[in-house]
Amino acid sequence: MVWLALAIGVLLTGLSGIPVGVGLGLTGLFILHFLAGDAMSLAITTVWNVFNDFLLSAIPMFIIMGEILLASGISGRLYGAASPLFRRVPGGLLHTNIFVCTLFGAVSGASTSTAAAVGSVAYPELRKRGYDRAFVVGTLAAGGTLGLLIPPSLALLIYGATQGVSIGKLFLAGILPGLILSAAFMGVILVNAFRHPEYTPSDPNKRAIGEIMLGLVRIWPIAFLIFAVLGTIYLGIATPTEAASLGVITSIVIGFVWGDLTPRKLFGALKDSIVVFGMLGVVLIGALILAQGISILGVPSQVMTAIGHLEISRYLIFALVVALYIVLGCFFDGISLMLMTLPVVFPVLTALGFDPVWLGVMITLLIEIGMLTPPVGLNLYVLVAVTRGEVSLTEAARATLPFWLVMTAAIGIFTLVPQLVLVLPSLM
Amino acid sequence: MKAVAWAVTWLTKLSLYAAALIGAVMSTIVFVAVALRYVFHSPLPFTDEIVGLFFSAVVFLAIPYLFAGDRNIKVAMVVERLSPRWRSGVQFFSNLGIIVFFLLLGWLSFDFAAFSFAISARTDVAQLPVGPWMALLPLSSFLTALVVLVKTAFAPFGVEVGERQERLEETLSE
Repeated sequence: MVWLALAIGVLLTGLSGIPVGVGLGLTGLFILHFLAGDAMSLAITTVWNVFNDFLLSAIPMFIIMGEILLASGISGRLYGAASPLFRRVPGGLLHTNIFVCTLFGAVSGASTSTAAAVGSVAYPELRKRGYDRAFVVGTLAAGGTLGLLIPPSLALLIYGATQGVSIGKLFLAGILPGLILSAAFMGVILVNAFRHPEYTPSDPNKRAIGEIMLGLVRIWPIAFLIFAVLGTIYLGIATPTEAASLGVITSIVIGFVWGDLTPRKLFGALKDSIVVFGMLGVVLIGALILAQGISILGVPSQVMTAIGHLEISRYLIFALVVALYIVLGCFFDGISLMLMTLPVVFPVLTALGFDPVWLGVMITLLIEIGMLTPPVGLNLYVLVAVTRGEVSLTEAARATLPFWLVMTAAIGIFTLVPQLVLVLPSLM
Repeated sequence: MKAVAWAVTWLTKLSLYAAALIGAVMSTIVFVAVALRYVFHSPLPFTDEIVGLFFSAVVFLAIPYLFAGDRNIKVAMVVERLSPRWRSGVQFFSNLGIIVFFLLLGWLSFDFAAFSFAISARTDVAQLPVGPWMALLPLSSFLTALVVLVKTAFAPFGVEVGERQERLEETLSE
């Protein structure tokens, strides 16, 4: 009966256009009232207890920091400093897209804000230089996903805070896979540049090494911000919430001194970030109510018992979870998908022996794949909007396909070699 | 009808501004706590408690604004492909679902907050009263239900509530 309620609830949420948080919450309340013996009041207790968690407070602060950086126009300075680096490499400025997304990812916790921040600077520049527009969008959409994996990451933060996994370890675990993906994306660009030289015009202007280095030195405030956020966590100086507050204050100072931040822009950024956070908050409320209903009926243990009877490999179970995320990722926003599936997926997969830190990175990677998968690939939408319709959603999706395949392959590689994810957190 | 729409829109805007202010204060408090701990070796003992309360307040106060302006995470793929008539029908039932959800949430959390007031519940370290913070959830839930109710009732008459109304006001004032 609970499975029927879950299926109908998710189906109606998908079909009716009702806000995801409300759909999940109504399903949860239905389960609590009709299947769990009128236990609806538990919904409020759960929401209140979780919403008073100090750790979760890092979420709005990381969002505020990202919006302030976006409003400060810092991505433009980053791009300007990094663009001479790859001019002589086949693929040219497309590599810069990935490089700057990697850097921006280290100060931003979200995929769409990274894609929007770098895309709004890079697209007009590359378009002017005659780069293939669709492929430019492809690189930016893929690069944007690095914002969610490279710490600080909202997905890892929410995963850690809701499942009780160390956020410091999760943040460390995201670094190496993020850098590997970044390098793999550059590999895709390189291969593409050799196959289609017409996509990437060559740049005859040579820059002296000294000039390139000087440009990079000039972006030292970003290095300082990365230290304020990540360095303080890794050195044990600050908790993730404290690091997020350091990030907010530092980004305000950098925005005013080094960027184009004004009091009006700051207020706008603050307002926008509360709206973004509120949207996540509604999903979180709904997912918590549903999770309460699911756990009170012992659904995860039922699934575990069923799997025990089937006697199938844990890797096959994980493959099924991957397939589920890829399919649902076509329709649901990533964080919503994570929040609605974790109450079952987390206890089942960790009970099967998968490392919770490794699982967090894998789920984040799966969410990123969803960001590139039409029809609800958010990064694609953001960048199509940046191009003002010059590149269609279909063209963007097609150009992103090689990166999509690389990310899917990365899931396989990180499953076969989990040390790639776990080596850094194991040092902590 | 327009006056009601205007009033509801402004209520949601005020609620959002309060959330933004609390968000800013929350970041500042945590920053000050870190500075006090390392610079003056005198940490604030109640940071965790107050930040937790602020966190819940930010979410609850932002919700009415989101629903007034339809700024929610949703799967609109199917609905967008429907004919305008079917779309408005589905939208009506979706709004009904939202109203039911927030009325339920408001009713359940009202009891929760009322109990907290009745026993004068306070936080462990700072001894802050918890009731007023808990009351934000029923307040926000009932306001959101009201916003969506007004939106649904006024839509057939072409009177808009929320962000679009807000944009209209901004355009008119310019």
